[in-house]
Amino acid sequence: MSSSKVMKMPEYRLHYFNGRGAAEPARILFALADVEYEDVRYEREDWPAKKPGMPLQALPVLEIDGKMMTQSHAIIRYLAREYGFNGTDNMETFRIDEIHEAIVELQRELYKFHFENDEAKKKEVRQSLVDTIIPKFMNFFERRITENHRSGGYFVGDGITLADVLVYNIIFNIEKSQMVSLDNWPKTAALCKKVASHPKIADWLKKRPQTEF
Amino acid sequence: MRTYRLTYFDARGKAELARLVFAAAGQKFEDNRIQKDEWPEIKKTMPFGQVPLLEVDGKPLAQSYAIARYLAREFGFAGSSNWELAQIDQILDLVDDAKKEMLKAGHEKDPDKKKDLEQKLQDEIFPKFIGFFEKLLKDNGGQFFVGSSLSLADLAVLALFDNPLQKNPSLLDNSSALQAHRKLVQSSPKIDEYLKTRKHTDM
Repeated sequence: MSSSKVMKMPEYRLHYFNGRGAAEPARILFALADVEYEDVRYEREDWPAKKPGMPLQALPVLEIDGKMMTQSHAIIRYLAREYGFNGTDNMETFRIDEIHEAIVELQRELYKFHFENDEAKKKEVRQSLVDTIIPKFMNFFERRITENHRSGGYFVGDGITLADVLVYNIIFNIEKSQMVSLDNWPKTAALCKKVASHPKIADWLKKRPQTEF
Repeated sequence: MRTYRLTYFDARGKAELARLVFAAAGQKFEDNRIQKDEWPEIKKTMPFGQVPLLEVDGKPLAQSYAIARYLAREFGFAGSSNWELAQIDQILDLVDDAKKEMLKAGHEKDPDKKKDLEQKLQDEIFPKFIGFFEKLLKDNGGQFFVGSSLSLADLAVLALFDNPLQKNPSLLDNSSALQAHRKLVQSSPKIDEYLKTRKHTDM
Protein backbone atom coordinates (compact mmCIF):
# COMPACT_ATOMS: atom_id res chain seq x y z
CA MET A 1 0.00 0.00 0.00
CA SER A 2 2.68 2.54 0.91
CA SER A 3 4.83 4.10 -1.73
CA SER A 4 7.93 2.16 -0.78
CA LYS A 5 9.61 2.70 -4.12
CA VAL A 6 9.93 6.38 -3.35
CA MET A 7 12.88 6.79 -1.01
CA LYS A 8 12.38 10.48 -0.39
CA MET A 9 9.86 11.40 2.29
CA PRO A 10 6.90 13.23 0.85
CA GLU A 11 6.61 16.90 1.62
CA TYR A 12 3.50 17.47 3.69
CA ARG A 13 1.79 20.76 4.32
CA LEU A 14 -1.37 20.73 6.45
CA HIS A 15 -3.58 23.79 5.96
CA TYR A 16 -6.09 24.65 8.65
CA PHE A 17 -7.28 27.40 10.95
CA ASN A 18 -5.35 28.21 14.10
CA GLY A 19 -7.20 25.61 16.15
CA ARG A 20 -7.34 21.90 16.86
CA GLY A 21 -10.72 21.36 15.19
CA ALA A 22 -10.91 18.98 12.27
CA ALA A 23 -7.14 18.96 11.73
CA GLU A 24 -5.95 17.79 15.12
CA PRO A 25 -6.23 14.01 14.56
CA ALA A 26 -3.97 14.43 11.51
CA ARG A 27 -1.47 16.41 13.59
CA ILE A 28 -1.50 13.73 16.30
CA LEU A 29 -0.92 11.05 13.64
CA PHE A 30 2.02 13.01 12.25
CA ALA A 31 3.44 13.25 15.78
CA LEU A 32 2.86 9.55 16.45
CA ALA A 33 4.51 8.55 13.16
CA ASP A 34 7.33 11.03 13.79
CA VAL A 35 6.85 12.53 10.35
CA GLU A 36 7.73 16.11 9.56
CA TYR A 37 5.12 18.42 8.07
CA GLU A 38 4.42 22.10 7.82
CA ASP A 39 1.59 23.08 10.17
CA VAL A 40 0.08 26.01 8.24
CA ARG A 41 -2.44 27.89 10.40
CA TYR A 42 -4.73 30.61 9.07
CA GLU A 43 -6.27 33.35 11.15
CA ARG A 44 -9.97 33.95 10.48
CA GLU A 45 -9.29 37.30 8.81
CA ASP A 46 -6.85 35.74 6.32
CA TRP A 47 -9.23 33.01 5.25
CA PRO A 48 -11.42 34.83 2.69
CA ALA A 49 -8.34 35.56 0.58
CA LYS A 50 -7.12 31.95 0.75
CA LYS A 51 -10.51 30.27 0.31
CA PRO A 52 -10.73 30.40 -3.51
CA GLY A 53 -7.38 28.60 -3.78
CA MET A 54 -8.64 25.55 -1.89
CA PRO A 55 -10.20 22.71 -3.94
CA LEU A 56 -13.53 22.63 -2.07
CA GLN A 57 -13.16 26.12 -0.60
CA ALA A 58 -12.84 24.43 2.77
CA LEU A 59 -10.20 23.38 5.32
CA PRO A 60 -8.40 21.23 6.25
CA VAL A 61 -6.37 20.51 3.15
CA LEU A 62 -3.35 18.23 3.16
CA GLU A 63 -0.80 19.02 0.50
CA ILE A 64 1.37 16.05 -0.44
CA ASP A 65 4.22 17.01 -2.75
CA GLY A 66 2.00 19.77 -4.06
CA LYS A 67 -1.09 17.59 -4.56
CA MET A 68 -4.07 18.88 -2.60
CA MET A 69 -6.15 16.43 -0.62
CA THR A 70 -9.45 17.55 0.92
CA GLN A 71 -11.88 16.22 3.56
CA SER A 72 -10.58 15.79 7.09
CA HIS A 73 -11.66 12.18 7.49
CA ALA A 74 -10.18 11.09 4.15
CA ILE A 75 -6.93 12.79 5.15
CA ILE A 76 -6.86 11.08 8.54
CA ARG A 77 -7.51 7.67 6.98
CA TYR A 78 -4.79 8.23 4.41
CA LEU A 79 -2.20 9.04 7.07
CA ALA A 80 -3.32 6.14 9.27
CA ARG A 81 -2.87 3.71 6.38
CA GLU A 82 0.41 5.26 5.29
CA TYR A 83 2.00 4.96 8.73
CA GLY A 84 0.44 1.71 9.94
CA PHE A 85 -2.29 2.83 12.34
CA ASN A 86 -5.23 1.41 10.44
CA GLY A 87 -5.32 -2.25 11.53
CA THR A 88 -3.68 -5.32 10.05
CA ASP A 89 -6.62 -6.97 8.28
CA ASN A 90 -10.01 -6.04 6.81
CA MET A 91 -11.87 -6.78 10.06
CA GLU A 92 -9.49 -4.71 12.19
CA THR A 93 -9.86 -1.85 9.76
CA PHE A 94 -13.63 -2.26 9.97
CA ARG A 95 -13.48 -1.93 13.77
CA ILE A 96 -11.46 1.28 13.40
CA ASP A 97 -13.93 2.61 10.80
CA GLU A 98 -16.79 1.79 13.14
CA ILE A 99 -15.27 3.91 15.91
CA HIS A 100 -14.49 6.59 13.31
CA GLU A 101 -18.13 6.80 12.26
CA ALA A 102 -19.29 6.93 15.84
CA ILE A 103 -16.91 9.87 16.34
CA VAL A 104 -18.37 11.62 13.29
CA GLU A 105 -21.87 11.18 14.74
CA LEU A 106 -20.84 12.42 18.17
CA GLN A 107 -19.03 15.38 16.61
CA ARG A 108 -22.21 16.27 14.73
CA GLU A 109 -24.10 16.32 18.04
CA LEU A 110 -21.42 18.51 19.64
CA TYR A 111 -21.62 20.97 16.73
CA LYS A 112 -25.32 21.40 17.43
CA PHE A 113 -24.31 22.73 20.84
CA HIS A 114 -21.43 24.91 19.66
CA PHE A 115 -23.38 26.49 16.81
CA GLU A 116 -26.62 27.11 18.71
CA ASN A 117 -27.01 30.84 19.35
CA ASP A 118 -30.25 30.82 21.31
CA GLU A 119 -29.22 30.65 24.98
CA ALA A 120 -32.24 28.66 26.18
CA LYS A 121 -31.93 26.11 23.39
CA LYS A 122 -28.18 25.86 23.92
CA LYS A 123 -28.80 24.91 27.54
CA GLU A 124 -31.27 22.24 26.44
CA VAL A 125 -28.88 20.79 23.88
CA ARG A 126 -26.11 20.71 26.47
CA GLN A 127 -28.33 18.88 28.92
CA SER A 128 -29.25 16.19 26.42
CA LEU A 129 -25.56 15.80 25.50
CA VAL A 130 -24.58 15.36 29.14
CA ASP A 131 -27.50 13.14 30.14
CA THR A 132 -28.01 10.95 27.09
CA ILE A 133 -25.85 11.39 24.05
CA ILE A 134 -22.33 11.47 25.47
CA PRO A 135 -22.99 8.52 27.86
CA LYS A 136 -24.38 6.49 24.94
CA PHE A 137 -21.14 6.91 23.00
CA MET A 138 -18.98 6.44 26.11
CA ASN A 139 -20.75 3.14 26.81
CA PHE A 140 -20.06 2.07 23.26
CA PHE A 141 -16.35 2.95 23.53
CA GLU A 142 -16.08 1.14 26.85
CA ARG A 143 -17.76 -1.93 25.39
CA ARG A 144 -15.51 -2.06 22.36
CA ILE A 145 -12.34 -1.79 24.47
CA THR A 146 -13.67 -4.57 26.73
CA GLU A 147 -14.42 -6.78 23.73
CA ASN A 148 -10.87 -6.53 22.43
CA HIS A 149 -9.23 -9.54 24.06
CA ARG A 150 -5.70 -8.60 23.11
CA SER A 151 -3.60 -7.06 25.85
CA GLY A 152 -2.99 -3.36 26.16
CA GLY A 153 -6.49 -1.95 26.54
CA TYR A 154 -6.72 -0.51 23.02
CA PHE A 155 -9.66 -0.62 20.63
CA VAL A 156 -8.03 -2.89 18.07
CA GLY A 157 -5.09 -5.27 18.33
CA ASP A 158 -2.45 -4.64 20.96
CA GLY A 159 -1.19 -1.24 19.92
CA ILE A 160 -2.31 2.29 19.23
CA THR A 161 -4.44 2.88 16.11
CA LEU A 162 -6.44 5.68 14.57
CA ALA A 163 -9.43 4.62 16.70
CA ASP A 164 -7.53 5.38 19.92
CA VAL A 165 -6.31 8.72 18.60
CA LEU A 166 -9.81 9.80 17.57
CA VAL A 167 -11.42 8.86 20.86
CA TYR A 168 -8.65 10.53 22.86
CA ASN A 169 -9.02 13.69 20.77
CA ILE A 170 -12.79 14.04 21.04
CA ILE A 171 -12.78 13.29 24.78
CA PHE A 172 -10.11 15.95 25.26
CA ASN A 173 -12.54 18.45 23.71
CA ILE A 174 -15.56 17.20 25.66
CA GLU A 175 -13.65 17.33 28.94
CA LYS A 176 -12.52 20.84 28.11
CA SER A 177 -16.15 21.93 27.87
CA GLN A 178 -16.85 20.03 31.10
CA MET A 179 -19.55 17.82 29.69
CA VAL A 180 -18.19 14.50 30.92
CA SER A 181 -16.35 13.00 33.83
CA LEU A 182 -14.61 9.76 32.92
CA ASP A 183 -15.19 8.05 36.30
CA ASN A 184 -17.93 5.83 34.94
CA TRP A 185 -15.83 4.59 32.04
CA PRO A 186 -12.52 3.38 33.49
CA LYS A 187 -11.29 1.56 30.39
CA THR A 188 -11.89 4.58 28.19
CA ALA A 189 -10.22 6.80 30.79
CA ALA A 190 -7.19 4.50 30.87
CA LEU A 191 -7.03 4.48 27.08
CA CYS A 192 -7.04 8.28 26.92
CA LYS A 193 -4.24 8.40 29.48
CA LYS A 194 -2.23 5.90 27.49
CA VAL A 195 -2.61 7.85 24.25
CA ALA A 196 -1.68 11.13 25.93
CA SER A 197 1.38 9.63 27.57
CA HIS A 198 2.77 7.97 24.45
CA PRO A 199 6.17 9.70 24.24
CA LYS A 200 5.71 11.08 20.71
CA ILE A 201 2.18 12.27 21.38
CA ALA A 202 3.04 13.67 24.82
CA ASP A 203 5.76 15.68 23.14
CA TRP A 204 3.27 17.14 20.65
CA LEU A 205 0.65 17.87 23.32
CA LYS A 206 3.25 19.83 25.28
CA LYS A 207 4.33 21.98 22.37
CA ARG A 208 1.11 22.42 20.38
CA PRO A 209 -0.39 25.91 20.34
CA GLN A 210 -3.04 26.35 23.01
CA THR A 211 -6.30 27.28 21.30
CA GLU A 212 -9.89 27.28 22.45
CA PHE A 213 -11.18 24.89 19.77
CA MET B 1 -18.42 -19.70 1.17
CA ARG B 2 -19.22 -16.76 3.39
CA THR B 3 -22.82 -15.83 3.98
CA TYR B 4 -23.94 -12.23 4.11
CA ARG B 5 -27.18 -10.91 5.53
CA LEU B 6 -27.99 -7.21 5.32
CA THR B 7 -30.78 -5.91 7.54
CA TYR B 8 -32.39 -2.56 6.81
CA PHE B 9 -35.75 -0.92 6.27
CA ASP B 10 -37.65 -1.56 3.04
CA ALA B 11 -35.83 1.34 1.37
CA ARG B 12 -32.60 2.30 -0.38
CA GLY B 13 -31.46 4.75 2.32
CA LYS B 14 -28.28 3.96 4.19
CA ALA B 15 -28.12 0.36 2.97
CA GLU B 16 -28.09 0.98 -0.76
CA LEU B 17 -24.37 1.56 -1.06
CA ALA B 18 -23.69 -1.87 0.47
CA ARG B 19 -26.30 -3.44 -1.85
CA LEU B 20 -24.61 -1.82 -4.84
CA VAL B 21 -21.22 -3.20 -3.80
CA PHE B 22 -22.74 -6.67 -3.53
CA ALA B 23 -24.31 -6.19 -6.96
CA ALA B 24 -21.07 -4.96 -8.55
CA ALA B 25 -19.20 -7.92 -7.05
CA GLY B 26 -21.87 -10.39 -8.18
CA GLN B 27 -22.00 -11.56 -4.57
CA LYS B 28 -25.22 -13.12 -3.27
CA PHE B 29 -26.55 -11.78 0.03
CA GLU B 30 -29.78 -11.98 1.98
CA ASP B 31 -31.53 -8.64 1.59
CA ASN B 32 -33.48 -8.61 4.83
CA ARG B 33 -35.97 -5.72 4.56
CA ILE B 34 -37.93 -5.02 7.69
CA GLN B 35 -41.29 -3.30 7.83
CA LYS B 36 -41.99 -0.30 10.08
CA ASP B 37 -44.25 -2.26 12.42
CA GLU B 38 -41.55 -4.89 13.01
CA TRP B 39 -38.93 -2.28 13.86
CA PRO B 40 -39.57 -1.70 17.60
CA GLU B 41 -38.97 -5.39 18.32
CA ILE B 42 -35.99 -5.73 15.99
CA LYS B 43 -34.44 -2.49 17.30
CA LYS B 44 -33.86 -4.15 20.68
CA THR B 45 -31.69 -6.82 19.06
CA MET B 46 -29.48 -4.40 17.09
CA PRO B 47 -26.00 -3.57 18.50
CA PHE B 48 -26.68 0.19 18.67
CA GLY B 49 -30.42 0.07 18.12
CA GLN B 50 -29.69 1.03 14.53
CA VAL B 51 -29.74 -0.37 11.02
CA PRO B 52 -28.18 -1.12 8.60
CA LEU B 53 -26.63 -4.21 10.07
CA LEU B 54 -24.46 -6.59 8.09
CA GLU B 55 -23.96 -10.10 9.35
CA VAL B 56 -20.93 -11.90 7.97
CA ASP B 57 -21.27 -15.60 8.83
CA GLY B 58 -23.51 -14.47 11.67
CA LYS B 59 -21.09 -11.85 13.03
CA PRO B 60 -22.74 -8.42 13.20
CA LEU B 61 -21.20 -5.27 11.71
CA ALA B 62 -22.87 -1.87 12.12
CA GLN B 63 -22.42 1.67 10.71
CA SER B 64 -23.30 2.16 7.06
CA TYR B 65 -20.04 3.61 5.71
CA ALA B 66 -17.89 1.23 7.74
CA ILE B 67 -19.91 -1.63 6.21
CA ALA B 68 -19.60 -0.24 2.68
CA ARG B 69 -15.84 0.28 3.09
CA TYR B 70 -15.44 -3.25 4.46
CA LEU B 71 -17.25 -4.74 1.47
CA ALA B 72 -15.40 -2.52 -1.00
CA ARG B 73 -12.05 -3.71 0.37
CA GLU B 74 -13.27 -7.30 0.38
CA PHE B 75 -14.41 -7.26 -3.26
CA GLY B 76 -11.83 -4.97 -4.84
CA PHE B 77 -13.62 -1.64 -5.19
CA ALA B 78 -11.30 0.22 -2.83
CA GLY B 79 -8.63 1.46 -5.23
CA SER B 80 -5.20 0.07 -5.89
CA SER B 81 -3.04 2.32 -3.69
CA ASN B 82 -3.27 4.40 -0.55
CA TRP B 83 -3.56 7.50 -2.71
CA GLU B 84 -6.50 6.06 -4.68
CA LEU B 85 -8.19 4.99 -1.49
CA ALA B 86 -7.79 8.53 -0.15
CA GLN B 87 -9.46 9.87 -3.29
CA ILE B 88 -12.32 7.42 -2.78
CA ASP B 89 -12.66 8.50 0.87
CA GLN B 90 -12.63 12.13 -0.19
CA ILE B 91 -15.60 11.48 -2.45
CA LEU B 92 -17.47 9.47 0.20
CA ASP B 93 -17.08 12.39 2.60
CA LEU B 94 -18.30 14.81 -0.05
CA VAL B 95 -21.32 12.58 -0.69
CA ASP B 96 -22.01 12.59 3.03
CA ASP B 97 -21.74 16.41 3.14
CA ALA B 98 -24.35 16.60 0.38
CA LYS B 99 -26.60 14.14 2.20
CA LYS B 100 -26.41 16.21 5.37
CA GLU B 101 -27.71 19.20 3.42
CA MET B 102 -30.54 17.11 1.97
CA LEU B 103 -31.48 15.86 5.43
CA LYS B 104 -31.81 19.42 6.74
CA ALA B 105 -34.70 19.93 4.33
CA GLY B 106 -36.02 16.43 4.91
CA HIS B 107 -36.19 16.83 8.67
CA GLU B 108 -37.62 20.37 8.77
CA LYS B 109 -41.15 20.28 10.20
CA ASP B 110 -42.18 23.89 9.53
CA PRO B 111 -43.66 23.91 5.98
CA ASP B 112 -42.40 27.43 5.11
CA LYS B 113 -38.89 26.74 6.30
CA LYS B 114 -38.95 23.38 4.51
CA LYS B 115 -39.88 25.08 1.26
CA ASP B 116 -37.03 27.57 1.69
CA LEU B 117 -34.54 24.80 2.38
CA GLU B 118 -35.72 22.82 -0.63
CA GLN B 119 -35.40 25.88 -2.83
CA LYS B 120 -31.89 26.46 -1.48
CA LEU B 121 -31.02 22.87 -2.34
CA GLN B 122 -32.06 23.35 -5.96
CA ASP B 123 -30.61 26.86 -6.38
CA GLU B 124 -27.37 26.66 -4.44
CA ILE B 125 -26.46 23.39 -2.87
CA PHE B 126 -26.97 20.89 -5.69
CA PRO B 127 -25.21 23.12 -8.24
CA LYS B 128 -22.28 23.52 -5.83
CA PHE B 129 -21.90 19.78 -5.28
CA ILE B 130 -22.51 18.94 -8.94
CA GLY B 131 -19.67 21.36 -9.74
CA PHE B 132 -17.35 19.63 -7.27
CA PHE B 133 -18.19 16.18 -8.62
CA GLU B 134 -17.74 17.31 -12.22
CA LYS B 135 -14.33 18.70 -11.47
CA LEU B 136 -13.21 15.51 -9.69
CA LEU B 137 -14.47 13.44 -12.60
CA LYS B 138 -12.72 15.62 -15.20
CA ASP B 139 -9.48 15.65 -13.20
CA ASN B 140 -9.48 11.86 -13.40
CA GLY B 141 -10.07 11.71 -17.13
CA GLY B 142 -13.88 11.82 -17.15
CA GLN B 143 -14.84 8.16 -16.88
CA PHE B 144 -14.57 6.96 -13.30
CA PHE B 145 -13.99 9.03 -10.19
CA VAL B 146 -10.84 7.22 -9.12
CA GLY B 147 -8.37 5.16 -11.12
CA SER B 148 -9.52 3.48 -14.30
CA SER B 149 -12.22 1.18 -13.01
CA LEU B 150 -15.37 1.13 -10.92
CA SER B 151 -14.88 1.92 -7.23
CA LEU B 152 -16.93 2.64 -4.15
CA ALA B 153 -16.75 6.34 -5.09
CA ASP B 154 -18.71 5.77 -8.33
CA LEU B 155 -21.36 3.77 -6.51
CA ALA B 156 -21.70 6.38 -3.75
CA VAL B 157 -22.28 9.21 -6.23
CA LEU B 158 -24.74 7.05 -8.18
CA ALA B 159 -26.74 6.34 -5.02
CA LEU B 160 -26.56 9.96 -3.83
CA PHE B 161 -28.52 11.28 -6.80
CA ASP B 162 -31.25 8.59 -6.72
CA ASN B 163 -33.50 10.54 -4.35
CA PRO B 164 -33.06 14.05 -5.78
CA LEU B 165 -33.54 12.72 -9.32
CA GLN B 166 -36.75 11.03 -8.26
CA LYS B 167 -37.99 14.47 -7.16
CA ASN B 168 -36.46 16.48 -9.98
CA PRO B 169 -35.64 14.37 -13.06
CA SER B 170 -33.95 17.31 -14.79
CA LEU B 171 -31.47 17.89 -11.95
CA LEU B 172 -28.45 16.72 -13.96
CA ASP B 173 -29.57 18.14 -17.30
CA ASN B 174 -26.80 20.72 -17.27
CA SER B 175 -24.12 18.27 -16.28
CA SER B 176 -23.24 16.07 -19.21
CA ALA B 177 -20.23 14.71 -17.31
CA LEU B 178 -22.30 13.41 -14.41
CA GLN B 179 -24.99 12.10 -16.75
CA ALA B 180 -22.40 10.16 -18.73
CA HIS B 181 -20.92 8.82 -15.50
CA ARG B 182 -24.34 7.71 -14.29
CA LYS B 183 -24.99 5.89 -17.54
CA LEU B 184 -21.58 4.25 -17.50
CA VAL B 185 -22.07 2.89 -13.99
CA GLN B 186 -25.70 1.89 -14.50
CA SER B 187 -24.94 0.03 -17.70
CA SER B 188 -22.14 -2.13 -16.36
CA PRO B 189 -23.63 -5.63 -16.68
CA LYS B 190 -23.96 -6.62 -13.02
CA ILE B 191 -25.24 -3.24 -11.87
CA ASP B 192 -27.67 -3.15 -14.78
CA GLU B 193 -29.08 -6.50 -13.75
CA TYR B 194 -29.41 -5.38 -10.14
CA LEU B 195 -31.11 -2.08 -10.97
CA LYS B 196 -33.62 -3.83 -13.21
CA THR B 197 -34.71 -6.15 -10.45
CA ARG B 198 -34.32 -3.75 -7.53
CA LYS B 199 -37.48 -3.13 -5.58
CA HIS B 200 -38.86 0.34 -6.19
CA THR B 201 -39.13 2.40 -3.01
CA ASP B 202 -39.65 6.10 -2.34
CA MET B 203 -36.37 6.56 -0.57
